[in-house]
Amino acid sequence: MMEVKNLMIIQYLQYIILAAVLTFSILSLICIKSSRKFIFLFFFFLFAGFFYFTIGFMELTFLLAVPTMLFAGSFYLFELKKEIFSVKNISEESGEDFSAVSFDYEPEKFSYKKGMLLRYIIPVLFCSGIIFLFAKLNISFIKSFKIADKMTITTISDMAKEVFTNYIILIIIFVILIFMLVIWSVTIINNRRKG
Amino acid sequence: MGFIKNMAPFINPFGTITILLFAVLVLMFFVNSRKNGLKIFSFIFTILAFIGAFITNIIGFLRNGAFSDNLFTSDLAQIIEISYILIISFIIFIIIFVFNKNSESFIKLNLIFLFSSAALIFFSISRNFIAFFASLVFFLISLFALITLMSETEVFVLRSQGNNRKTSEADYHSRAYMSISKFFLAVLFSVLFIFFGTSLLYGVSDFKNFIQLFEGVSTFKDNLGFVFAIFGIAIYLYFGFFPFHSPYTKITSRISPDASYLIWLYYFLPGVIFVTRLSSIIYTVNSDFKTVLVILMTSIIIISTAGSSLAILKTNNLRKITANLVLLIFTGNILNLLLYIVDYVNEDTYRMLNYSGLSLLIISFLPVSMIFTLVEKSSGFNDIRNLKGIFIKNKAVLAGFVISCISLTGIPAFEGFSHKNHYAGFVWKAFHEGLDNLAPIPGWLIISAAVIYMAFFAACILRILISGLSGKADTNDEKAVFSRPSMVFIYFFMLLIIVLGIAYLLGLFNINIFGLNFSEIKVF
Amino acid sequence: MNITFIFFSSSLLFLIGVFASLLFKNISRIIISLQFIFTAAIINFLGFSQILYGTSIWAVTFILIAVITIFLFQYMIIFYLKSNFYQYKTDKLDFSSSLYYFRINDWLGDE
Repeated sequence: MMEVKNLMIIQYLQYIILAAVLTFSILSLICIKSSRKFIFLFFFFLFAGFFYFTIGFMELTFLLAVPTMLFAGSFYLFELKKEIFSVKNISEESGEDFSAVSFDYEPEKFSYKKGMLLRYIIPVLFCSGIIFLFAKLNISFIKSFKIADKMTITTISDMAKEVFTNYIILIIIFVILIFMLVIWSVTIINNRRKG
Repeated sequence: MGFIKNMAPFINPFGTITILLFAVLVLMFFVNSRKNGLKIFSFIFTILAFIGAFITNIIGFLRNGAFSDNLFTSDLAQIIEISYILIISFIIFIIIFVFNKNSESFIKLNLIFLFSSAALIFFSISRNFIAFFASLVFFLISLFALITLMSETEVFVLRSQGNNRKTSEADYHSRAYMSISKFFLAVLFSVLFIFFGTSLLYGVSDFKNFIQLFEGVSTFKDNLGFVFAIFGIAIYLYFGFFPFHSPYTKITSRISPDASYLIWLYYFLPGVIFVTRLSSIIYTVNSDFKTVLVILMTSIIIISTAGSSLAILKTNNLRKITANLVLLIFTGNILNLLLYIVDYVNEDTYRMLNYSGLSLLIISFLPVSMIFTLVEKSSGFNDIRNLKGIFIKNKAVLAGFVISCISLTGIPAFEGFSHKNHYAGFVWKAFHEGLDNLAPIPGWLIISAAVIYMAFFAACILRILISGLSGKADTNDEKAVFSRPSMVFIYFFMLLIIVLGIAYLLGLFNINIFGLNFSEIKVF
Repeated sequence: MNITFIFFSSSLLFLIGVFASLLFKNISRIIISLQFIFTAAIINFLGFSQILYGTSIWAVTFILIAVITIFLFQYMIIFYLKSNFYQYKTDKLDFSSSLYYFRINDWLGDE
């Protein structure tokens, strides 16, 4: 285990990184064009990774990056498939050729409808409830923060030791689960091909 | 014999999981087979695995007593929970077999189902938060795989009822797919709430498992409020109580019937276990927050009871009625928790009340929902007013329907009485002897919650009974005949309801039959 | 390192995620906003473990196992949705309403 001593630079870096994380999170939500949405999502994951790196996660960040990248890749392919499918459906119905059209298709358009107000009620009430609880119940928690004298950095070998001594059962069950999910996905794909 | 003696100390709850996982490993070799003989073999093998797991569970406890290590802990409560899980798994597995025995993917379903029950047992005995969270997600993943595989072969297609809705099968398929995805995204949302709550809990207190949390909770009680608020929201969302019910009711009305049994009987069990886990922790700190907790939980009970009951009273859709009835039964768990934290019942009675809710679900609710499913399958309509036409020719089904409805209402000498007995008992006591250890306002709030719960429950069952018996008789429905296994199923549950109800009643009056005193058997 | 700032940022990220996943009805937006809740929890775990307790081995183990399992679950849902685009000619590419949309007709109606 290593120790961290000089923390001043890291602290300023973290301000910037967390601000970037928040900005990119909002940007990736409000973007309509899906390519931009995914660029911002990528930047969101990237800056979140930077944050993990600075807070002492270090080389383990790469362990986290692998499942994140796999997931983000499959998510992007899904979005692409959806757009191609929707454009193809439109062209089959109208008989026009959409092959040269760029993928700007977005089914969700912003327009005022009667139920518009109703749509906002549940999220607004829910979030204001959480904010109220946060303000009411968290004050003493925030005041009681005691910062540790020294920080240690976990290395991959520490991690591997911890997992293989205490959590080996979880890993075994996880391997069985993966095997079954392979069977599941093969079955789903076969069914689709038949139809 | 020497081998068995050597093995004995290793029989702990993990032995139960090992048996189920071993069955998974054996069945993996036959997974792509489509032969009927192998299907029957896998069915019998799985049944044997469940029975073996059940025996191991009980014998292991009798031999070795309570067990604990850094990942697992198991006591009498966990052993009973595991027994319930195994019994429910057994029943659901038979339902899956009946519906899917001709399907190509039966062995795959069998495999994933065994794994999911192992994950659920793992969840119920886990002590460390890592094991707890990981097993919850394992269970949900396998549940997702099961439900999607079942919906591949058959979805629920209504006969056209003269309205102008699209009735093509592809349309129904895509609606089912969308509802499944939506439901599991909603589940993921609540699971992420649990994850976020755990991160806050770690920050507040450095607790890494439930034992530490239980022992150290009073030191950190001022800081733990927000954590429990987040956990509470997560549980509320997981159950899908009233304002958040839409993904749940949609999925149960669109997928194939056997998959909806999985959701009704199986999906809610982790929620119940999680509530039971948190109950003793809330109980430790409740003296400071009693008034707030009582007001909050009373309002939750009233809102969720009223929400699901109004749906049952108003709608004619059979699936919707069943789905809301399940929600109503699980609202009882919140009521039990409320009774426990204000010291109205002790811990043993609290657990017993939870178990009696589960028993009500698998003994009295199951035949009603089974009859609904059979009616839906044979008539093609999903309307409660069509029940009467079915009942004209099939008097046995009528008898089963009436008996299970009466049992659900909680009339003595039927099984459901064990669920309502305690609520009725303490309401009676409050009106005659007054509230013994409670301040008047919270006390009467709790009593009102219990009265509202029981009144709405009875009203709902009465509505189902009356609409079922006084509908219109269609000539097409009268021709519908039920298969022999389903009749055996209904007869069996009729018998079970009456026998258990009478045994419970005898136990209350301390009468011994066959040398057994049923007042001591508190598992149902 | 400033733990208060980290805690407030992660809480804000959590709130953004909750609000967005309840509001939008577009599948990709819901999934994206679930990532925010997830990331907020991870930031909390790392921040608390390093800054308050000085050691992170348990939190790191939890995070790794949670990341693998949760991403697997999300991947399965996405895979399932994607596989449905092959077979059926359908106009349903998105949810017709947001995650917990409340409609009187869904609650009390027959359909």
